[in-house]
Amino acid sequence: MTFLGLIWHNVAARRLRAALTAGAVAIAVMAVVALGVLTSSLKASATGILQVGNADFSVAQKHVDNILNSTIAEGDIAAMGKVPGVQAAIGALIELEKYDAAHPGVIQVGLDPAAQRRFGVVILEGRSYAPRSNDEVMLGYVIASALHKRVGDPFVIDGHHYRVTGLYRTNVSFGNSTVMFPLPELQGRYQVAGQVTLGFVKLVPGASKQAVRQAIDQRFPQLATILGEKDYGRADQTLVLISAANTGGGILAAVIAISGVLNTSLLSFFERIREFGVLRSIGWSRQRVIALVLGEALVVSLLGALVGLFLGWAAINVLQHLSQLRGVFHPVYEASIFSRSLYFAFGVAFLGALYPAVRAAFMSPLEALRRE
Amino acid sequence: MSDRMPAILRRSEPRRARRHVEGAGAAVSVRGLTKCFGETAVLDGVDLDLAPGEFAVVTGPSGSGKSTLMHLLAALDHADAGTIVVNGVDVTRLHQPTRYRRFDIGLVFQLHNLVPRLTAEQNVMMAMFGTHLARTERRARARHLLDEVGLGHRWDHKPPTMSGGERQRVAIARAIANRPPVLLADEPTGSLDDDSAAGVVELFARLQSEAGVTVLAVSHDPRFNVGADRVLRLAQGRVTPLDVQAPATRPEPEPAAP
Ligand SMILES: Nc1ncnc2c1ncn2[C@@H]1O[C@H](COP(=O)(O)OP(=O)(O)O)[C@@H](O)[C@H]1O
Ligand SMILES: [Mg+2]
Repeated sequence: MTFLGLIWHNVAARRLRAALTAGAVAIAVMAVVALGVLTSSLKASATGILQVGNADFSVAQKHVDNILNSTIAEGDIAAMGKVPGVQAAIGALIELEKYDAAHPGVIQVGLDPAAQRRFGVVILEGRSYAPRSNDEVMLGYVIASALHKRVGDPFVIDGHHYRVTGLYRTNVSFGNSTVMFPLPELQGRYQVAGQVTLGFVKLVPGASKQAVRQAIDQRFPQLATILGEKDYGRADQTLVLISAANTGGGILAAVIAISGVLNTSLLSFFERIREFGVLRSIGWSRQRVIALVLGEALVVSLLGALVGLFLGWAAINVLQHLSQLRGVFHPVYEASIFSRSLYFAFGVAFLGALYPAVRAAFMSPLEALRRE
Repeated sequence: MSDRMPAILRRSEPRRARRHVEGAGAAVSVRGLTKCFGETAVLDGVDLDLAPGEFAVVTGPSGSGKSTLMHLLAALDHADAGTIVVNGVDVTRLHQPTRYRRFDIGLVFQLHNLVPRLTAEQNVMMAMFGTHLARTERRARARHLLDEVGLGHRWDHKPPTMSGGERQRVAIARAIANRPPVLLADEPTGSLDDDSAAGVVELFARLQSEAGVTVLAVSHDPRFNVGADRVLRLAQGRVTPLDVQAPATRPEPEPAAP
């Protein structure tokens, strides 16, 4: 019997208890996984549009609850283009619209054809719409195939009739599910003449990102420049709330799991006081006793994490097929979710079993031997 | 920390580093050992010497401090005064008794103190964690030890399915798993029926005569008085000879041989 074998043996000897504890850890890990996937998916949907721009950084209105509610005057975008260090500034209008029951949240982008190349748009088939047309539209190739649309087909959205002039792809897969309109046409439909949602800034080669950002932040105090994920919160309050909810849920789950492990480890400690005394008196070191108790907790915790990962995946699948969320919620499985569950299991086992382990190791063996 | 050698080396080149300790020639050497609980001195200047390979039994009325003496010898408790040297180790000045308990002594309790959910073999192997033995060696040795105590055929039985005598013999196999030169036993037959008790006493005698183990047992059991070289009595906090069974003319025994 190896030491690991002994740990396994001890866990298996109290199967039911181990299963209940692993169950608590599994539920916690499920919550962590589901919340994590949900959060990163929502973040990806909310911020994906920022990445489509192919820019050095994006610009949005400060402190809006949702980044799609941002408003920037086209004049400000033009002025931004003249800030030293800026090669080009592009404005895009973003509006969400229902296409049909299966596609309740199609992302419409209003963009001038001249800005398309800079924006990272590559036309795969057909041609672009004319700059001021009111009946032409281009589709990202992914949404085109989902809607079974080809070049020349009619396209009706929100009661407006268009004809598909071309299919495109962007350098970010998110953009391939968007629909692109002449800017004035989309502005007209939503009655926001002269306004865009987001700005995309491209710098001249060698210009300092930091310096240009600062210049823009100063010159346009109502706007926020957004470079990386940590800046998203500058514009989008919802993301901040979602992240906070995710963190809070994770902490709650950890507390539940740690209590479960602590409960079991303490119970098993009190039952086995005498055993620990015997082990110490036949030459076990304190470290070995600690390793045994922590090891048993870790095995249970890891089993729970494994089950929890599966449950989390199942929960995500259920969420995805809820009619309320269909088409809106595209799960993003990051590889980090696995490592996070693993760390979670390690942390839970360590925090839950540390106190019983230390007590088992540091109690006097004589006192332990006197216990019945 | 300890400057002691690993067990493997120690057997072939015994205890050279510790020769300077007084009483190192004896297997067990106790001088002026005193232990008080509150006002009462349970042990009040105990002197005791055991030659390597000797088998001594300490008798004494209940509450006379026999277990207390055993606990001090096993480094499970601290003395108030006096010294204990076992197998060349100054036990009273030991800070980390782990290696001492593992390699220098074997401990047998009145109750077998086996882990009930482990088999006899696994219980014996419990003593060998932290040694340099590979898993297969540990296993082979556990089987061999169980053979030696007459339980080779019951290696995969768990303590609850064994008789009291069998359990105690498993406990003895566990105690000698790391081939300690000194075996300490506190009332090892105290909870056994007559036949089992006789078997256990005989086993101690065999360990002494065949493996050269120094045995110090604490017991009321008169059977020990026949098997032991020396019978001592603990009373009023001191150890005195009760009876001399055999003169100390035994040939110099082998030190704890494998
Ligand atoms: N931890 C302790 N605290 C207080 N008194 C103790 C303790 N351990 C033993 N004693 C006392 O020391 C005396 C000797 O006990 P013990 O060594 O167990 O005797 P024996 O084993 O000979 O029956 C008894 O009177 C007992 O009550
Ligand atoms: Mg006693």
